Amino acid sequence: MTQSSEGKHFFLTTAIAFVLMLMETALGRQIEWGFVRMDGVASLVVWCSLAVSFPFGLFWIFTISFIAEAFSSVTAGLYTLSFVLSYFFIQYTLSNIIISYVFQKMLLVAFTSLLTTTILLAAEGLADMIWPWAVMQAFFSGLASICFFYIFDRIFAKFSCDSNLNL
Amino acid sequence: MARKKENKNKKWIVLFAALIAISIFIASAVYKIGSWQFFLPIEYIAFDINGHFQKWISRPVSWSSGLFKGIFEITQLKEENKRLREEIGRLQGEIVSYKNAGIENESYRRLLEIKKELPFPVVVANVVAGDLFPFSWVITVDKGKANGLGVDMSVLSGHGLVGRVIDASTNFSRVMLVTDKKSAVSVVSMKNRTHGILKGDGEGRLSLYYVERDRVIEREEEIITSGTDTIFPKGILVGKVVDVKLSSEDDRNNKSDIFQTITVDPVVDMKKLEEVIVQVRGRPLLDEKK
Repeated sequence: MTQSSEGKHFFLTTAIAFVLMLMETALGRQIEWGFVRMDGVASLVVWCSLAVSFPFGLFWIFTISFIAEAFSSVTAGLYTLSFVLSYFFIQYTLSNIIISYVFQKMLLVAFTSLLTTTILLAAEGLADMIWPWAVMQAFFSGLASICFFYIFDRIFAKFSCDSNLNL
Repeated sequence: MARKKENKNKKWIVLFAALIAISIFIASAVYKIGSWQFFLPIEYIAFDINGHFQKWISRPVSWSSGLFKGIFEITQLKEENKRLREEIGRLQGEIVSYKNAGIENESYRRLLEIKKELPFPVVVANVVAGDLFPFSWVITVDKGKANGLGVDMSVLSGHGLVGRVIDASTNFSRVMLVTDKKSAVSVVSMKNRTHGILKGDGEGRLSLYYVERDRVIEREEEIITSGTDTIFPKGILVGKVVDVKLSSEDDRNNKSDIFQTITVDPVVDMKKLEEVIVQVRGRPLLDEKK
């Protein structure tokens, strides 16, 4: 991947993360079911983790985390911790398994969503809400990832002619 | 030769990325510890930018929901609605204060009169966004330090207590609702004058803590703020008792027999909040330090 395309992808990812979180916070209260929302952030984290290898990918994940921290009032550093952990887990998985099927990506998104929500809930003193809400959120995030991955792929294909992403 | 140069370049890029990542990590850690005030302006700028975007996005949704209510007089109706809500909030506070005053002793009543005499200017604010973390009961409102808002100011609705301001930038503020797990309010029951600490359970209800076994508290009894926490003014309605039981009866997590387990329903529907009233204390707080 050339440096210019790397930069372009990075800013595109940042813009997508910003828009996703903006929509989720501005409209989330109106369209959520219980505590379950249409969450695209977990899909974006997995998409980046699959697409960009270490160490650049880590920088991308840091950026997404910082945007997430700005949109939330949870204890500082929790989003960063959970996203970075997810990134390393996916990188480790990628070094052992080729992840190409849709259901594999869905499972990864569900796992990332569950990991993130569990870390945040436990740290905020709400561990008793992991079941059923975090599990349900993970399930829905996994399902929604089909749609989000399609959107991310289309956006990146449209904005980059020389894409060398790992997807 | 070219390959060697490319490898050298790659090494520099990796080193650069690693340095940025490490510095961000250190900055984040320092910020978390709270000793570096340098990041505060950056945080507030980001908060302001996000708030404007959130306001633009949430505006069409709230507009469309009110579209059929009055096509021709929508602007006047909104203004009137805002004014009436403010009025309702004030009247609600007065009603609760009167009911409260009726069952208090003379000295208590005198103190209340002093409290009532204190002027509390209020600001009406619109809810523009929620939190990214759906389990966090925090909302963003479109009024900030420029409107006189500051940390720890109490937030009300037409029905009762909503929460308190936890963060304020120039034009926007974050409000922690009473239903949040981290929220705590010093309260007293209206009829039996039983004191306790009301905390959010994170699921939309409230729990009344530290009420001893021998204290009397009844179902359907109204819970109001006691004012002893110095954050919330005295006499604001918070909720109604829906369940009272001794800790050891059903709650296996809490074996203590010292306190009762009391569940309270908030009087305000936190999920449907659109406008809130913030009680502004003192002058605008533009120069306030976090």
